[in-house]
Amino acid sequence: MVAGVVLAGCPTGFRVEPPPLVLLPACSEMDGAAALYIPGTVSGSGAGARMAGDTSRPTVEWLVANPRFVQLMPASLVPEGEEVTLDGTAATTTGILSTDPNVPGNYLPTTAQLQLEAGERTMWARVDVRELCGPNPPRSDLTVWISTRVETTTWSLTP
Amino acid sequence: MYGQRVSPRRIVPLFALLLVGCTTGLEFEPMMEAWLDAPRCDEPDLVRNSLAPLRARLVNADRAGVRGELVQFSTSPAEFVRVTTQDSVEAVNVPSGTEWDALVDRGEIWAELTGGLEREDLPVELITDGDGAVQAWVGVDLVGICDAGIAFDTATVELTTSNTAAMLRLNYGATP
Repeated sequence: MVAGVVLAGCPTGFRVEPPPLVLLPACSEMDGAAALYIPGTVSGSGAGARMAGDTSRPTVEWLVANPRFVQLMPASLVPEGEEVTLDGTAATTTGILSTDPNVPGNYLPTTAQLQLEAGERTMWARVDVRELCGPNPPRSDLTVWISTRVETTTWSLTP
Repeated sequence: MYGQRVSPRRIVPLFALLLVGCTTGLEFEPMMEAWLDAPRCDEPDLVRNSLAPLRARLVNADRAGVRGELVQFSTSPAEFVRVTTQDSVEAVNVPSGTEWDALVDRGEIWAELTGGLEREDLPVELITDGDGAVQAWVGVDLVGICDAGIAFDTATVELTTSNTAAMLRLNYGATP
């Protein structure tokens, strides 16, 4: 009874763990590709994201800080291309170097709001190789912000 | 003492103590700080306005969220940094087609944003929700900053309540 009062009065808020930092390959290793697709998975924990009686799953929002260089694509849209191993804070991440023949509708979202499924959710960060390796490359890390209702975390892609 | 049944008369003060414990010593949880590319004002075609999420959570000394508190925003440089809600964020269009329709039908939101805001009458205050949180967007008018030719390297949003304050800082052209 007392524990119930404490939990109801002091919600902690739902939080997510962002994907690990990824180091982007050198431009010489991406020659001929239009885009590099990098999978990013967030996992969630905690309580308080839902109001009492609400049975919906927690929603997580992605927003790219540098839309000229990075866009977002659904995990269900598997790009065609060549697998490439990416270094980072995780052991390795497998990305896909693609010539981008079939971006659906040529639509390149820069934000997405999705519900978690079984406590996690994956999406593709699409790095525009032509912009990344063009005459005006980025001068800082490429940032994807991942937000719950209570906080924002950062996923960094480092050129 | 242990295992002894507690009378209703003793329970009431215990409840009161727990509730009081969740309403004092308010502060914001640490907020995001970001390091971003500086606008390239010498290459106008590359300059786009910037959007960032604003999430803040007001907590008490027990780290519990505090509901119903008024949070006010002030920005710097005020003429070029705005706080807004999602319904004011401008999108290019809505995705459609076989691949996208299934996702949208599931209630997912996908959008390509222009970086711009659709409204001028933007909010300057919000009320914390059941988690003690407020959700907003920060729009930085980098095009306007370049046009004005002002010195610029940081956009800030200060959040204040009657008890405490916190700062969201977006650094342009700097590294952590």
